[in-house]
Amino acid sequence: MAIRVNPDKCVGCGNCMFACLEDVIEFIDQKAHIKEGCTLCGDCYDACTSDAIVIQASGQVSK
Amino acid sequence: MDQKTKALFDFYSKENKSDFFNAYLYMKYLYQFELLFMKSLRLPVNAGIEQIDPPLEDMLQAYMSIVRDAAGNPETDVYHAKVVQLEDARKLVSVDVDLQIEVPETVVPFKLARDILLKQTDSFAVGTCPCRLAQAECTCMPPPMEACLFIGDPHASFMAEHNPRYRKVSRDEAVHILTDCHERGFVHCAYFKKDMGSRLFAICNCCSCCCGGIKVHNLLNAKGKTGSHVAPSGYVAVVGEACTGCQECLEFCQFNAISLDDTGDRAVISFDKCMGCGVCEDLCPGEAIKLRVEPSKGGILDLDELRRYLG
Repeated sequence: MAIRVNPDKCVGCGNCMFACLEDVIEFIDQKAHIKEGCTLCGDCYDACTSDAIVIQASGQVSK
Repeated sequence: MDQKTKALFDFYSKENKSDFFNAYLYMKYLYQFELLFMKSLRLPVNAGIEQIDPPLEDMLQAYMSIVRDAAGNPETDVYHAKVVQLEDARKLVSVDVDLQIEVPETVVPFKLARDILLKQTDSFAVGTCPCRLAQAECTCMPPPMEACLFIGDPHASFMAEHNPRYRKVSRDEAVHILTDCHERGFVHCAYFKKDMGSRLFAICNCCSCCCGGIKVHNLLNAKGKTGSHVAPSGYVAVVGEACTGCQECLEFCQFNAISLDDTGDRAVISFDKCMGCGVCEDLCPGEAIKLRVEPSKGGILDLDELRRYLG
């Protein structure tokens, strides 16, 4: 399983970064990026208001 | 000094004269202020906002740090907000007599800056929302994103004169802006600030993806901190029998307070997270959600109630 950010939908609001207790989200070129250390807790997914965060099952090809 | 600036200068008493300079900087360079605020939260920003002279930016940065630290602190006496549901917000812009009340701490739970002081009650300035403009990208409302209402003089007139993105509007237009923003699912927040005369100076129409104030509130909640500089409205939303579990309200709640119950066919609202803004009440297609007064969430900022209470 992995958590990814869809850059086309991310508006750079920062709600995922604020929700992340592990502090592993940063912004590069105005889009959220999930760094090493993500525990897959899903807090960022819940906080995102733009449907930009995608939880992928392992093996799924990323788009 | 021009007339509007002079009126602003004269508004502050001798003891509070230093607040004039903060208010002047804040209103004139509202967007640059917001830009610095977003940057301090490590957020991406809109690169298109006009630059200001470095010494001016240093002054603004110093002032922004004071406000930001206050906003992140539940004990703040400097800067805070009260969520108001639509009807209570409408009353605030419909005042037609001079009004001077100190809102009780039960309603606005901070020690200072709780006044409602309206003399020129028909003076409103509306302009582009600084939070939405300073943010990297806003998809919540089309330009010019007019969602922030400054209320009462001298501040509203100063804004309209000195901030190019602000303009004077009539009372009817002010009500229309509130209603339009309400239909978009935005939360009405009454903002109080020490530097703006320790009083209610603006009603903003906010969303959690853009509003700096609500972001910080949600940030505090996410990190498990208690209290915030944003006070709940005094109402809570309750889901009734008519709920079909359509999930429409989940999308709109700016405070992440709604989820589905274990069966998946009914919405449940977190009592702790609900701020009583009323967005879900009006957007629920089945009219299944109702607000009710909840004293443990503080008193309501209802002018009729306040006048009765204060005699």
